[in-house]
Amino acid sequence: METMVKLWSRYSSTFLQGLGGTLWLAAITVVVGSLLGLVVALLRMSHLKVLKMITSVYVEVLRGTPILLQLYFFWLVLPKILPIEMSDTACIVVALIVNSSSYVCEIIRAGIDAVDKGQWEAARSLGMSHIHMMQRVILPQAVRNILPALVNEFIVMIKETSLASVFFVGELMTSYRTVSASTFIQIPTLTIVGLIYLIVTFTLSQAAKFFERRLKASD
Amino acid sequence: MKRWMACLLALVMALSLAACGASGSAAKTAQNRLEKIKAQGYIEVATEPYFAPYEFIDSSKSGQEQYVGVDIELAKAIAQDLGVELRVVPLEFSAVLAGIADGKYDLAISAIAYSPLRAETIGMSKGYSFVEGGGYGLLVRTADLDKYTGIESLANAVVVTQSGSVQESLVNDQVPKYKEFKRVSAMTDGMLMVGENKADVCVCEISNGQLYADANPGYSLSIVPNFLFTVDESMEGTRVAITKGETELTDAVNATIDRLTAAGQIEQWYTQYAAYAKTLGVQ
Repeated sequence: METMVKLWSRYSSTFLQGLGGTLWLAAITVVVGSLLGLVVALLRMSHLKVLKMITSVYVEVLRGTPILLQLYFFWLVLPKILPIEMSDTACIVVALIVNSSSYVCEIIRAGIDAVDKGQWEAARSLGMSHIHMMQRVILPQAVRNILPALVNEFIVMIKETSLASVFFVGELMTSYRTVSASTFIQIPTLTIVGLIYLIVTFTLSQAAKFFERRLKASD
Repeated sequence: MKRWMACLLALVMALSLAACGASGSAAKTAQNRLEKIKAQGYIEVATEPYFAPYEFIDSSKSGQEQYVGVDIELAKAIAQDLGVELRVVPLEFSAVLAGIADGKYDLAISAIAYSPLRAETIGMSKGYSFVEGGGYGLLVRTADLDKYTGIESLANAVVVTQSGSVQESLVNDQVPKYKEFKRVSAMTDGMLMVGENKADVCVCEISNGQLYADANPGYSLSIVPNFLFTVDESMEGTRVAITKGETELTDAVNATIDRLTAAGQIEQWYTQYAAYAKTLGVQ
């Protein structure tokens, strides 16, 4: 306990910087990942067989391989195939975004599928075009199913980004490695970092619950 | 809607084709690494900054300044001799080795020891750090000091060390019998296991082990005195790792190492940074 206080007073800025890095990474991953996920979900629900096949392969590959493997893969391969210069952090962010998009795609698809069949039929019988129907009838209702799950995805990403510490992108787990390597003190450092993760994820999951209740209230 | 998707698909395909073309042309205009470094004006050096006093982080500084240690000084000297800017790239050890084998970075300086297996995939410079009082030994709980005295005493011990390290090959080659041999991803995890009774003996670099023992008085750990693994002369010293086949760059690195070794500079850095590393602790 005493060691933890000493560690905190000396290295609090390192831990807070790490927390900032983790939140930034998770936020950018989920925001951009959601946009990409939306596109993939729409393609996946299209009537074109080819698109359906390509997107389902995309989702299956990304969900069926470990995220650490994907991080290594993108880190090594991306700079080779892209004509522009990519920093390591950029490679890792792209890998996380692509990974997240596959999960978000399934969240969105499930959210849209969960909208009552009657709503589709009603919209179609009013003579709405497909795009119009999606925009005005289906998506607004699907959002209610999707948003709480997206907050959950954000919480998951906060934890997943810890794997990026292998590539030193400056998140919370990197702070643990930095501090424990220069002080040689591990368990108290781990405890501090664990508490920070817990405070953040617990706050977020409470917020998600509150949010979900508010959305349900309109039923 | 369908047309829009077709456009998107076409765009994706065009992009991937362009990417293939770009990588093809880059390979054609290949120059050797040394020329490339000089042309771009900077050298990228990968390191795992969790190994005091060779390379570690001073969190009170920021940016490139925060990386300090013997190896960082060496990297600075190499960059200076080449007349380019130094860029330190921090990574985990396995990623350091993967990155240099792949040629993603120019050099890897991370207290990398020589092993025949490593030399198959990675080019190595001359050895540069033969610090007196260094070498590979055993870290045990102080209470077990009379129990573990050397290689023969390990027959009933649970031995631990970092996977992929030279220490691992030392155990494989020289320890005839042990109760169990565990491998971990970071040396400090191995030392922690000894402290937590999860293992009995950690095979480590003894100056690194001593730093750990000093920082964790609660565990009461000690280095077994008067024992060192015998290390083949060709394996001695830590090395700078270079992507295989880059002879010009290797020669340039070796020239810097020769200059520093002749001046006794490495030992001086070692003493300086061992003291520096101690000031970062909280005990």
